[in-house]
Amino acid sequence: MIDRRHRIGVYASCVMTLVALALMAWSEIVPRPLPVIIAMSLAQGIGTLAFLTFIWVVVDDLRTTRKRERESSRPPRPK
Amino acid sequence: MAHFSQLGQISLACGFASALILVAFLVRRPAITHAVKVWLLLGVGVLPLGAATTGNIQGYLTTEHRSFCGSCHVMSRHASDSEDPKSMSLAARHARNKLFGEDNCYMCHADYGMYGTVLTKMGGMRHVWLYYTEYRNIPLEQALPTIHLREPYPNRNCMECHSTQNVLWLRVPEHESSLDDVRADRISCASGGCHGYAHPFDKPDVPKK
Repeated sequence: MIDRRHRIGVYASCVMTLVALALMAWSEIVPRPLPVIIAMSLAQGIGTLAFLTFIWVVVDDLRTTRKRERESSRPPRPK
Repeated sequence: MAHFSQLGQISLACGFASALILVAFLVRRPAITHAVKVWLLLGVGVLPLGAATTGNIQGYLTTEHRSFCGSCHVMSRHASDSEDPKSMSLAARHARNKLFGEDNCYMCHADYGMYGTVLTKMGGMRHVWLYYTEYRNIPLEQALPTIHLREPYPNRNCMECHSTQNVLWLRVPEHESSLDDVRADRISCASGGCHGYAHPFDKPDVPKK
């Protein structure tokens, strides 16, 4: 099960992606200099950051899960 | 309603599909299982990547259209003159040529050197900067006399099509006598004494109609 920190990361990633998509759609609907420049720079940056955040969540979650599994399968130390 | 090219349609479709997945996730807030992660990979990674790739290509192509250049009010007269079927300016005559057509601003003002595309785009960014910092609130009539090229228009841009080596071209006495000067940019093809200005309406020595 994913922890709270990762869940926030996923939500942030979703919101950032939606913002980036909105900026890209704006440039398609209103093809004027400012929207096009923003779509080709700021929106790309936000979208990339969103994707990297998602990848970080997935990788970190996998690492945490494996660590937990290793610890739970280890035989208890003799007293 | 806005007209979307095929690339624009693909970009919007990818964006819409991605937004659908993300909004559904944010509203329903399901447990983040492996299946949900795969859906999110589509919504955050694959589909936005498709939207960005097609959107960027479309954005790049959009910057070459006359409607894009003419969307700043200070360029509206340049654009409307190009679109005028009765205009005999160099810009309008070239815009009626299919090779130039809707992209006539870019075709004539592009740098055709090795790094031409990059230099042209950098020049375009400079125009946007100037527009938003200096020209945005200036009326067209006040702005027109102050708009000028940073450097004289290079004849090599004309020579991309008019090579100056064609026999018919060389038979014209004025061409023959001024050949070296034309090739060395000492005489401009687009000057009042030769083929006329590309945008005559903003030149002080051209009588207004």
